[in-house]
Amino acid sequence: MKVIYSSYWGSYLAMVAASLHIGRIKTKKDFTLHLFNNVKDHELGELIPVGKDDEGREVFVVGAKKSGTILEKTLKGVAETYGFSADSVVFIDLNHFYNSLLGLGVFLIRRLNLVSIGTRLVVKGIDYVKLKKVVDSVKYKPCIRE
Amino acid sequence: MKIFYCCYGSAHSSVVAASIHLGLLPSNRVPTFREFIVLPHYDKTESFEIGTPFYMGKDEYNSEIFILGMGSERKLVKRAILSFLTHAGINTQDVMIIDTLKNVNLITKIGGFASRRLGLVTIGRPLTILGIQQRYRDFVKLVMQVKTKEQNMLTQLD
Repeated sequence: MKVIYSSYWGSYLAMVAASLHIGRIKTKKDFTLHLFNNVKDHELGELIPVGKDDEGREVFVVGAKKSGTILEKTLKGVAETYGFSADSVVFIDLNHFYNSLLGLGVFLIRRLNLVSIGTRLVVKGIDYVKLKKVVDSVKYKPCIRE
Repeated sequence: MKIFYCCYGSAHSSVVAASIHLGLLPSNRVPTFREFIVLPHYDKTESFEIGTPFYMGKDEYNSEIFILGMGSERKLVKRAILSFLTHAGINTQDVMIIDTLKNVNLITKIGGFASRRLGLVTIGRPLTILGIQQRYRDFVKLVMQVKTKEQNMLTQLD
């Protein structure tokens, strides 16, 4: 089973969610610059492995821009054409977590290369409680093994 | 082998290319209006179905042919499919993802927008067909190139 956290860039929100999922970070204080990857424009769409969770499920992040809904259907559909069940892919689109603070932070990091201040804004912009709730709902949902 | 013909909404150009591939449409002449509208999925795929691969049939080499709407981020979605398959341990040499949208002209785009987005099927559908009829030779050429590549790939895989 593959758990895929998706956000616009796959570098910030998705990375935090995936790191929470595999237990790499526990609280908001653990958010650091090293946590964030730096997916380039031409790498968007690539599934980036983050690790495995306690259940042995592979956890990935992906930068899907605004195509998360389409990508979810595609990956589940493609999985089915290869004989996997649609449940073998758990896809979580996190784009609805974006807010202006997060957007500004990402803009500063990616476009103006103001990494330090940008990262601080990104960390501030992430609603940790809500994100954790989503991650937990994915993590502790009973799964059927392939 | 699996071949995915892809366009924006899997309603027009991918359906036509897949249908030529499977012999549902002729390769030696431009089909009539009627021949288009009876095709499965032609001008029927709804917006919420974009992203879902639809099976169209098996060709003479036993390859499975699909159509897929990828929306506006086709390169990204293609990259995701190949990346997903690689991580799933599937040989991506066995997959072809063909973008058919480059063969779509303005008339088909306007027709597609009218039919699929605005729901003006009576106006939009004939326009999509007219545009495709004008570019039909390019569709046949594309499919022939795909089949040649498919044969070469199958030979290599043997």
